[in-house]
Amino acid sequence: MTLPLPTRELVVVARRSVLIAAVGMYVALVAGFTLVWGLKLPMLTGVRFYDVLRIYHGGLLAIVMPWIAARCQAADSGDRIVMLSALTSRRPSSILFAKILSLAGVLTLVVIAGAPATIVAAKMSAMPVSVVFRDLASACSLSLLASAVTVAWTVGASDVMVTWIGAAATTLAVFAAASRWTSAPAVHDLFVAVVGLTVAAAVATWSDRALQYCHD
Amino acid sequence: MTAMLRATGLSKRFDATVAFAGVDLQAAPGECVGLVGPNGSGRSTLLKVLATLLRPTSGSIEIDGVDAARAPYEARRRLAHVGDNAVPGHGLTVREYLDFVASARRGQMSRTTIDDTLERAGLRDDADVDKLSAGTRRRLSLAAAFLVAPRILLLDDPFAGLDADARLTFSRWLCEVRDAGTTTIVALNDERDVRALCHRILRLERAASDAGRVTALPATAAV
Repeated sequence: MTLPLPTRELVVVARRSVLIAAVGMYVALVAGFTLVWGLKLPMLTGVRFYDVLRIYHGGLLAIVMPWIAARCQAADSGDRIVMLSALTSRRPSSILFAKILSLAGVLTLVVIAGAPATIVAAKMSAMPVSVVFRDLASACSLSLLASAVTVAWTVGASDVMVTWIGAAATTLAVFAAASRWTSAPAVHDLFVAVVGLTVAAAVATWSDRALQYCHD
Repeated sequence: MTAMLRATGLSKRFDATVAFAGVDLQAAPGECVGLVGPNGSGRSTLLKVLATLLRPTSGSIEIDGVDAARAPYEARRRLAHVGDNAVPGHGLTVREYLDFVASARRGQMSRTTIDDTLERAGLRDDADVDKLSAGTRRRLSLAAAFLVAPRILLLDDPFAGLDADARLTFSRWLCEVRDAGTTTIVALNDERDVRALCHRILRLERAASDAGRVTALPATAAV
């Protein structure tokens, strides 16, 4: 293991059987939406199907990503992080950063798994494929935010359900705020990525002080 | 004496309950100090405090010249602790777990080194860490601690749950590690183990405090 902490996290995630089910469900929901809405339902005048899909896709990712991260990660919180820090002689911040980056990588792969369906949707709306790639970049910034927020919630609340609901609500709120306050797509993505990095930095900094010792 | 580990005036209190108090301890490089005493005398807690897992209520700890209160992460690089609360494997196999711990502590290790450790510890490399029995889990923890070759080993009842063969294997292994210069503080229940392994003992006694709770009173003696 050349990068032991991220490698451990990736091995743990890859071994979770629920990961395959979650990815399958996500792809099915994107593909199903594309087929059912895109082919069967009429669109309002002036509204492109791809724009509807984009909103649906963003909302879906904001819910699915925290669920995958919460269910598939190596759920270390509280004293376990202290024990892991002692075992590996690494700071809690290094452990959490490795976790966030690994999960962001996994979530990016999940987004890529749904790319074929979004490409089909772009074709149906007569939009260039380059738009899909820009939206994929946008989803990558969302994956960083979702992983950082989920890890932050995991550290605070060890229960998976609480972590998922809290992380999904936070991710949705940031996504909605970014959509409301920014008009240019690049600024929107930057906003989401910066919030993700800020959350990651905040939880890492906090952990080095708060998770120095086990609870009495 | 050049101390690899020096604890001065160490005490630990959980709310109103005193786990131990007034512990002074020094250990030289390669020295093995046995912690003995009745159940509830605070041996496990003392080891956790020395391992920087628990914050001491008072007193100071110096690990190889590093003040553990000021730089606990720096101190942790120099020691390994084996106790009852092991880190879960989260689905890792025994080999992956050892590889992970060794890589995190010392950088990439050869497959042969891991193989040798697995063989000596009597561990199956593809076994799921989370499904190991308590005794096998203890073997893994000890093997990981020996593999990373720390300067200080803190062992809490290291042979608990081990069968007779494993007990002999790890006892010999520990002697080798000690003779190679690793400072060892080990809490033991069996007096024969103390005599076989330790150069000195620190006896923690239970005594009723004013509030009727338990206080540890340290005393050292040569074995």
